[in-house]
Parts: sequence; C-alpha cells; structure tokens
Amino acid sequence: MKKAALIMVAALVTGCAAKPPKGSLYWGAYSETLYEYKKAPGIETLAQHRDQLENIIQTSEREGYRIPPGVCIELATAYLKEGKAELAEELLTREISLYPEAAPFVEKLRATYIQARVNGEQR
Amino acid sequence: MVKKIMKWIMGLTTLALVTGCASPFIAKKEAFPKMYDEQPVSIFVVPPINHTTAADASEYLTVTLPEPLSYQGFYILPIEVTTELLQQAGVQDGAQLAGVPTEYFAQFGADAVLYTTITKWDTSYYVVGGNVTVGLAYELKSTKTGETLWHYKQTLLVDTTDGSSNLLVKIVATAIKTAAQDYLPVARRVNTIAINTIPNGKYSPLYGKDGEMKVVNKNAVNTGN
Repeated sequence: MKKAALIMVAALVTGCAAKPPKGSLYWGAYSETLYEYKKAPGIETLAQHRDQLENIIQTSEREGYRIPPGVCIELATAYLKEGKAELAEELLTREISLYPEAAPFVEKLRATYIQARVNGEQR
Repeated sequence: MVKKIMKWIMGLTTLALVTGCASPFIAKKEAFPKMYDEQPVSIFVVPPINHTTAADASEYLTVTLPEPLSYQGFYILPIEVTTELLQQAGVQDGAQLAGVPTEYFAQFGADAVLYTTITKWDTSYYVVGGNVTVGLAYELKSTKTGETLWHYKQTLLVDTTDGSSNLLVKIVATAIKTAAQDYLPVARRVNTIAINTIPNGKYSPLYGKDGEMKVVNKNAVNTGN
C-alpha cells in the first residue's frame, strides 16, 4: 500500500516536472538566423533559417510547448519556395488549429499563391 | 501637548515626503485602459520608421520583436511574411505607411498594428568597451478604431562590453564586436523592457490578471507627442 502511494507521488512529481509552465515557448535561434537571412538573402541563409524553423517546431513538440505564433506559416512559405506544396498546406492548416486568429491571413496567402501558380502556368 | 503636535507634524512631513517621492510606476490598467476594453489578440508588426543613420537598426529591432510579444500572450503575424508582402507593395520603411490608415490591416485578420520609431542608435567604442544609446518609440493602434491602445517611449544606454575580466581579451573582444556589430542582444533587451508593459494577451497565463501590476514607468508613457 505504502509502495503504491510512493509510486503515485513519484508519478505526480515527474508528471508536473515534464510539463512546461503555461505560456512557455521555444524560439531557438530564430532572431539570429532570420537576421542573417535578411542581411544576406541567399540559398544558404534561407536554408539555415528554414532549419531553425524546423528545429523550433520539433523541439516544441518534444518538450510539450505550444509552437510559437507565425512559425508554421513562415516555414510553409519557405517550403512553397522549394515547391513542397503539400507540406506547406499541412503547416498552414496547423497554424489555424493552433491559433484561430491566423485564419484570415492564411486565406489571403493561399489566394495569393494559387494566383501566382495560375499566372506561372499561363506564361 | 507640544510634543504631541510635534509628533503630528513629523508624521505629516514623512507622509508628504513619501507621497512626493512616490514610485514612478503606475498600474497597467491605469496607463492603458483601452487595451482592456478592446483586448486585441493578433498583431501586425510593420517595419520601423528609422530616423537614424544606422541602417541595420531596423532589422535588429524587427527580428527581436516577435519573441517578447508572444511571451506577452499575443498572436503575431509572421514578420518575415508580412514584411515581404509590404515589400511587394513597395514599402521598405515604416515612414512610407504614413498615409495608410490602421484599419487597412484588418483585412489580414490583425486586431492591432505595432508601429515603431527609432530616434536614436548611437554606438561608441573605447579601448576596453563600448556602448550603444537606443531611443525608441512604440505605438500599438487598433485596426477597428485607429486609436492608440498602448505606447511606450524610452532611451536606454546599453553596455556592449564583453563580460570577460581579462583586459587583453577584453580589448580583442571589443574590437571584434566593432566589426561584427552584433547588436541582437541589445535589441532584444530594449524590446523586452518596453513590451513587458503591454497588458497581457489571450495566450498569457496573466491574461486578465495583470491590470493592477505597477510596472509602467510614467515617464515612458507621457504623451508629449
């Protein structure tokens, strides 16, 4: 009986420890890689920033943090530039499920990209 | 009797002194009541208006804004995507948005727009160190009414000297810093100080509970403009 109680306490303690405090977010080196990209836009700096965005999402998932606002959209646009439309679409949907207030912006983005593709095909 | 009166006077003087020297900090709700009325969630960050000759300052400040804004509980539209969107429309500097009403940004789902003005970015270096004086004004405006919901103005002197205590190392480190001009930590610090005074948004555990927090320096919100 005593043992069972101890195990329960231990489970509770570890349970609490594993859960990050409410409102925590993981941004990794977001500012640094975005700055590098803005300072010298190019394939390398863009790839570096894209890797960082992927790292932010993966780390947040692993640690149980909410993915920071805008990160899924930003990565989606990077994927679109690389022609990975399906992955991009998944991320856009994910952003809305995390942050419903993103919906109008995502809709606008979708319209822009679809329009751009149509224009591209007509050329 | 005289003693008693003396005691009274002493007491009153102390009271006057205390109130006279009262803390310059006021409660968030007192400083920014409109934030509590409107409760904006999503923020569109526009490029800064840069009054300085430091071209890099805009970028340092922009890339370090989303982080503190998100900790404060807001949804920030992805700055790199919104910046690109504005660039396609020919907007590079915030000053070009002077004629655009804040209501325009409602179409992107933004409840509010964050405008920033860089008034000062003076760097100085000396043999064993360096510092930068940063002057910034922030203004958060409603896309519904165009009214200012939150504003903050500050000038800060930030030491950029390397933490090392060895003099030789220090000189080298400062020299390298001069070349690399890595001011991201400075920008992050300055932004965080200001943004901590915004009433907390929906995604913060403090949402709706921070009205009485006395963290707003009166001098930073005096509307002298």
